[in-house]
Amino acid sequence: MNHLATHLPLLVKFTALAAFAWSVLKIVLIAQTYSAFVALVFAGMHLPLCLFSTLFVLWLFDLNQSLGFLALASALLNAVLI
Amino acid sequence: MSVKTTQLEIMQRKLEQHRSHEERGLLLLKLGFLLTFLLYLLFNQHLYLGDALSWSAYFKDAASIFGFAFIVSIVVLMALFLSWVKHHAYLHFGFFGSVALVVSTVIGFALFAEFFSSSANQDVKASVLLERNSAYQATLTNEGSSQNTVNPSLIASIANAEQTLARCEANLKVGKEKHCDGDRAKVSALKSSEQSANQAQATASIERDKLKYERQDELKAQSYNPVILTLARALAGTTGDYKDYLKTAVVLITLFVAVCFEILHHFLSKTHGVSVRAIEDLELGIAKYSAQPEPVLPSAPAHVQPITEPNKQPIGFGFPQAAPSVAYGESKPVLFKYQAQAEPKPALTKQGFMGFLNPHQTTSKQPSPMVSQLLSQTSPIIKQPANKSGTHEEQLPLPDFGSFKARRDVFASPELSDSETVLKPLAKGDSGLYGEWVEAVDTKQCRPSVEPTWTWIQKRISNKETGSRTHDRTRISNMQKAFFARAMKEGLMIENPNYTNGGKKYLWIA
Repeated sequence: MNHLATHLPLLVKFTALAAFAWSVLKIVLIAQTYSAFVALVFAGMHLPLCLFSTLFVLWLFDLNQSLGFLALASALLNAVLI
Repeated sequence: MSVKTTQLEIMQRKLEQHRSHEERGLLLLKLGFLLTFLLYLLFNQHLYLGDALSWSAYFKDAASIFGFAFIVSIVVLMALFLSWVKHHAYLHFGFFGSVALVVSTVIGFALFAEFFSSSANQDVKASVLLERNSAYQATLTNEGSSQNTVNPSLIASIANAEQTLARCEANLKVGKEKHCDGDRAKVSALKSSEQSANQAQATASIERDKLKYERQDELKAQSYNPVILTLARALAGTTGDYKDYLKTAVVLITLFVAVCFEILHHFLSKTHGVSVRAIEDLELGIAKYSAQPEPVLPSAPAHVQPITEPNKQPIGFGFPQAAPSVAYGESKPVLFKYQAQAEPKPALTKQGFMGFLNPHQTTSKQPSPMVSQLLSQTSPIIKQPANKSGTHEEQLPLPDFGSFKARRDVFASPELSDSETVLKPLAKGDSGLYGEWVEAVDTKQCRPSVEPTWTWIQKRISNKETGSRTHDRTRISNMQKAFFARAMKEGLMIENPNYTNGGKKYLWIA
């Protein structure tokens, strides 16, 4: 139980960070494959929203876990929607 | 290290934590403002300017360019205004609470704009992918093959047969031929076969076009994001066509993303207000505590919660504490608006578990003055009368919630203003205001009907109404009903059995 309490926040934060890194990687690959304009279109609002959700998880997950999980879901969804 | 120094260090540490938390919250709020601006900008762009690919029409002449620039400025200014209003509203919510109409308007419009622009973005991405899809382009370039082609050999055969038939008919007129039935039958057969061939070709062409369009639809559908495809397949179930549910899936997913963003954004506004209040309370607490002399504590009581204990919640809301957990010095306990001053408790016995008295404690010792002072400033739960040994359970004193008045109209000011002080205290033993009211009715100072009693109560508990958001009117009505119910229960008044409109509803029989 104590391990869960200490490792779960770390795991959640790592997942959110990985989601944002993956979204950035996708944008870079799209820019290389097509063009920067296409990458901009694909990033749309999902990349900034992913950044927002990731920062929320990193900074405020300890304060409010339930909304932290919601932010994690938002970060993951925005990352896969790119 | 002295207790005061430690306490001040702890409070300083907490203050630093709250300040860093507030800085990050403000940064996120600014990011949220920027995101809102971009979302509104996209929404307005789609609404007023259409797809960017069609903007070439605006650059034909100077008038069109001027009109385009004018609309662009409107779009940008409107997005800036709307996002600023939302940002300001969220900051306002954090401090002063929210109004349902403003919340629904601001958040509802923001949600609509967000999922509108996000769903449009998904369609644009799908079309971009489709344009670069070679399979889809192949279906477009094969348009020519679908045109009807006529069999040239059959046409030549028909032409030859008609030529032979014409010669035969000419010879028949001059008597060189007996009949031309054979040639005529041949022409008819060839034309019939030509018609059959044309029909077969048309059918094949229709089928080919159908397959081609199905292929195009499939490729269009496949160009959407896999998440959207999965949701569309789930919505379609086993029997439906998932392509019919693509738009629904896009709307649902973008709506979910928009709702998530709005919830997080709104939470930031709440935490901003709480953080600022916590910082102010901590700064005030540090200032007060720094000015106090060093307290002399013989030993910490066992039931006092350690100050350094983090008050975290496992799941759910865990706003930062607004009130600093410090050991205050001599100070007057804060009361609710109509709460009477608590009677001084005689002595204190040692506590058992969870408010139960320790039955093994047979003798009570008078606590030291410092412990008494500390206990008198903590929760009333730990204020227990002495010499209760032998009883198994102690009825804990509860605050007078009936006389509690919520203060939602003033931010961070628990003290009452002078204009809000009551004329007379409410709690007066068993009778209280009710007893005064009975006396007033007996002495004809108040009539035992609804409106005079309501006014009588109002004059005594609220010398003025403090705005439309207070509970005064409802509270006074509830008190009036309670007075009447108690008076009827005590046999002081009855309901008028001959009551008619305009007459007395209650009769005072005391």
